[in-house]
Amino acid sequence: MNEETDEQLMRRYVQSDDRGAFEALFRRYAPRLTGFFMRSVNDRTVANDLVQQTFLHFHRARKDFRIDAKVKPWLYTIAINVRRELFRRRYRKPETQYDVEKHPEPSVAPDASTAQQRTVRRAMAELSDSQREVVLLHWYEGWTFREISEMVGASHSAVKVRAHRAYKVLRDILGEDDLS
Amino acid sequence: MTPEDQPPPILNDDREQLASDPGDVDALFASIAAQTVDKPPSPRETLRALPTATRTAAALGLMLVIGAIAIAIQGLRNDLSGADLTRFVASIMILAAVCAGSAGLALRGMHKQAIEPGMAWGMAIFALALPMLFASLPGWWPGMLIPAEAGWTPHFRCFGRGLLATVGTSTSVMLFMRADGPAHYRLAAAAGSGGLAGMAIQQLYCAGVNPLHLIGSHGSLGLAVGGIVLLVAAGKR
Repeated sequence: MNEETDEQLMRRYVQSDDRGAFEALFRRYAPRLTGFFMRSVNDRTVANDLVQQTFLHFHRARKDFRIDAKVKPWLYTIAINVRRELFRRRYRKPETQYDVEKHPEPSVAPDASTAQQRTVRRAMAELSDSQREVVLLHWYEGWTFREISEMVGASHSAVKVRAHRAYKVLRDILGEDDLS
Repeated sequence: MTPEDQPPPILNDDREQLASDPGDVDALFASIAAQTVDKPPSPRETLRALPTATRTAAALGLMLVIGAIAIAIQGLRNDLSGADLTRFVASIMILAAVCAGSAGLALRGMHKQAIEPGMAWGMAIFALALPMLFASLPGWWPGMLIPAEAGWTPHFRCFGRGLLATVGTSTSVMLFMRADGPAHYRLAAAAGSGGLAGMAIQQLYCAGVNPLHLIGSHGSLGLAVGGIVLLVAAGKR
C-alpha cells in the first residue's frame, strides 16, 4: 500500500481537520523533532514540551498552510521559532548553562549517556546559539545551507560562515579523530 | 561540502543516537491531541486559528473601531480648518503605517521565516520610540499651547485618556496572538502598535503642543503600556 505523502496528509488535515492525518504527521515527525530539541536542552521533559509547543503552533497555523507548499520545511520553521522564542525565554538557555560536572549522569536516558556523548554536548555548548542552530539543522537534520537560510532568516553566505566557524570550533575541541 | 564545512568524525555516532530513540510517542500524541484536535475550540482558540492575514486585518480593524469611538466621545479638534494639513496628515499616515507593520510583527506566524532576535527587537523598539521622536520635534505639530495656569490637570487627563485608548488598541493585537506566552519582542511590538495608534488618536482630538505635554501625554503611551506588559510577562516567567 502506498503511504500518503506529507502534503496529502496535510491537505486532509487542513481541509477537514482530519485527526488521523494530524496523528500521522505527528508520528512521522515527533521523533526527529524530539532529537532536534534534545540536542538543544539535553532534557527529555523539556524537549517533549517543545515538541508539543511546535505541534500546538502547527495546529493553530494550519489555515496559513499554502496547499502547494512542502510540509517538512514549514514544520521545521515552526520548530526553529519555538526553539528561539519559547525555549530561550522559558528555560533560560539551559544548553549553555548545562554543567557536566554538576550533572554527570542526567537521569533521563539516552542523553549524554556515555563519556563520548557528554564530550560532544560540552563542545556544542561552546558554540554561539546561532552557530549551534545551524549545526543542528545542517549536520543532525540534513538540511542544505540554502534551505537553512530560508528557514532561519539569514543569508546563504551568513549560514555558511556560521557553519564553517562552528565546525572549526568543534574540530578544535574534539579533534579530527573518532574518539569512540 | 569542503573538509572545512565538516564536523569532526565523533559527531557521526552522535547524529544517529537520538533518531533511534523516539521516546513515548503515544503519550506525547495523547497530550497534544487533548490540547488540539480532541478539544472543542474555545472562542480564543478560534481567533488564534484564523489565517495570519485575517488576524492582522481583524486586529487593525478593531483598532480603527476603538479610535473612532475615542474620537466620537472626545470630539475632533476644531483648530485645523484652514491650516495647511499636509505635514499633519502625512505624520498621521506614518504613524498608521508603522502601527500596521508593528502589529504584523506581533502577529507574525511561527511558520514564517524566523527573524533574527536583534532585528525583531530593533523593529519593536522603533515602534515604541517613534511617537516619542515625533513628539520631540519642535514645531512639528500644529496647535496651541496649554496655559500654565491650567496646571497639571489637562496633562494628566490627556495622558489618562490616551492610556485607555492605547491599552485598548494594544489589546486588540494581543487578542489575536497565537502563543500562550508570546515572546517579549512580540509583546513590545503589540504595545508599540498600540502606542502609535494612541498617539494618532491623541493628535486628532488634542491641540496641545507644549513640548512636555506632547512627550508625556501623547508620545509616551506605547512605552508606558509596553513597560507594564513586559513587567507582567517577566513576573509570570
